Amino acid sequence: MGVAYLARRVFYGLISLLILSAIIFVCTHLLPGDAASAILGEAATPEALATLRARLGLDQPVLLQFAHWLGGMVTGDFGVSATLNQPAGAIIAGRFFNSLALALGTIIVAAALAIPLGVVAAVKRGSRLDGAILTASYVGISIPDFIIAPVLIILLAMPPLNLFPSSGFVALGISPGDWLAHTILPVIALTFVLTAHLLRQTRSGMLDVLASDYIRTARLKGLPESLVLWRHGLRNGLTTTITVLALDIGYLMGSIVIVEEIFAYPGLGRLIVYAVANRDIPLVQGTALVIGAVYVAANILADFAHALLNPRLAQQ
Amino acid sequence: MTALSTPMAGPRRRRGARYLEIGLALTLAAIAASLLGLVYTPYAPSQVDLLHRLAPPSLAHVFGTDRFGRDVLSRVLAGGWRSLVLGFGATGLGLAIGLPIALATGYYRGYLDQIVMRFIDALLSIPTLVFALLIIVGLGVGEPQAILALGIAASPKFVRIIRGAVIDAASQDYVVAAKARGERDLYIQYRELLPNVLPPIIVEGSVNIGFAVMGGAALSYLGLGTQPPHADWGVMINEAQQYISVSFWPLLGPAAAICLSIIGFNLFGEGLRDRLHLRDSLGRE
Repeated sequence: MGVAYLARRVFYGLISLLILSAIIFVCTHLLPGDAASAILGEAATPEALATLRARLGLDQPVLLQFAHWLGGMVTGDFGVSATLNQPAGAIIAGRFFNSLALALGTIIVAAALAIPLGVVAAVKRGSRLDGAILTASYVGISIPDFIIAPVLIILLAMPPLNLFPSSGFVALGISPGDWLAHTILPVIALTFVLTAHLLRQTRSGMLDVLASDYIRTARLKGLPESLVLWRHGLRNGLTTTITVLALDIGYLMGSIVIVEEIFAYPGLGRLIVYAVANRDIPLVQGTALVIGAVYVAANILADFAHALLNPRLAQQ
Repeated sequence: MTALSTPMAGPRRRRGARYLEIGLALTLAAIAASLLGLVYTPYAPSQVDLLHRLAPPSLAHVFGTDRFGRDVLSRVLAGGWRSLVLGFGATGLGLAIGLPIALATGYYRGYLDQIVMRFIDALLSIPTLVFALLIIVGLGVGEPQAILALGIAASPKFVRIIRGAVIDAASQDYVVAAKARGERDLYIQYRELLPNVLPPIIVEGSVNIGFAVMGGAALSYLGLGTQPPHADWGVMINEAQQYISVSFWPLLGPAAAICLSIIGFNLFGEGLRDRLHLRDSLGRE
């Protein structure tokens, strides 16, 4: 595996994060009025504002402020939440692991459903089965998370079934059973959309593979169709699926914002909504950067996996 | 691809045509209903009727009533334009930002292109909804801000897709000929290249309208888009969800409206993509 290739990928990832942090910084400095006036309110005297600005470093040039802020982010100092009066880093870290549990559960379930269905749809391309799978995935993509979630609540969290709590959270360390009960509904809601998305991507990736020259060669050699599919097709189809899965992490992070809010699940998504609604700038900045970093990291990991499965690519 | 896809061209084409028809029908129905809502609703959308709160669907109230006894159908009709304007407005804005950048970078290439694309990649690494939330932090809460946020957030995707098409088109003979004639760069970009990259723009645009309707409703749902007492479909779903344990009927109207509109715009875009023989955003057919 080409070390240079991987080093380059990591380098590009870091450049992406640097640019992203600049964008986050700009977005959070667009608003009229700065952190000082937000903290002190409208009745603040000019003298008090000036003092606080000096203390927060807001009287310095913007570039210097950005460098200072970025330096903090890199060393793990995310600043202090303006509304919760706690270090933003600590809040974000706790929420991060809650969201990670949701994301991992969703990815595992969605992959287990979507990959086989996508492969079957591709192999049976144009058949009734393919049509049915495609149509179902279409409906899945078109129904927003904020509709799926209440429907799930109606079906599973209300009488007569009443299987799960409709919202809230219990820490894993306190009661694993309650933790699981509170995690299942959000995972089902997230799985719904992700499966539909992933299935379509797997299908088209697999179609490309099945149309490639080496599959034709394998067929022309007279290999049994099952061998062609499982040994030749799936191995390469899988590399595509891994890439797609990594791309879908971004998609998933978007869904998490809505789903966590609906189920009152304390993760990154609910945190960023809270931070935006309350204009808690350090919290917005930290959460957005962490979400971006997750996506960048997922794509680098996918490239690593890709390079392992397909060494030719890494040598290019 | 050609050898294998030829036998499939028949069913595929037919499916595309059906997608296009259904999509167009749903899209037009959503637009018509929203326009109707501007001039006529069975009841006044904010008319409170405390005797008939949270009523199930009936002949008098097709989608039932909400927690104040307001007619849900009337509110769906009256709020429709807000939801659709979010979709169309954000997409139009996204294209207005993305198109000139895509034409310039795809045409000139070189260092500028490299730098811009690094920016675009960084922007694409943040989910659209989260990007929109960031912009809302900068602009504040409200419907115009939501349109701006979703439009800006959609533009990197447009740059990526359109730039790809521009690069393909820029190597064609008519562009070489236009350069040889000594046409100005802007002329080549907007008179020669633009007409030839219109198909992917139209397809991605219509698919994005569906996404933006969904994103706009999501922002309203989160309390960051349209502000009550004004109501679009997202606000209505939020309000309905708060009383879900008492009655889930108020959810039905806005949920149906939003799902059918999104399916409509998606099918329309997908059908067009098949009709025009285009590849999807990942470059696949």
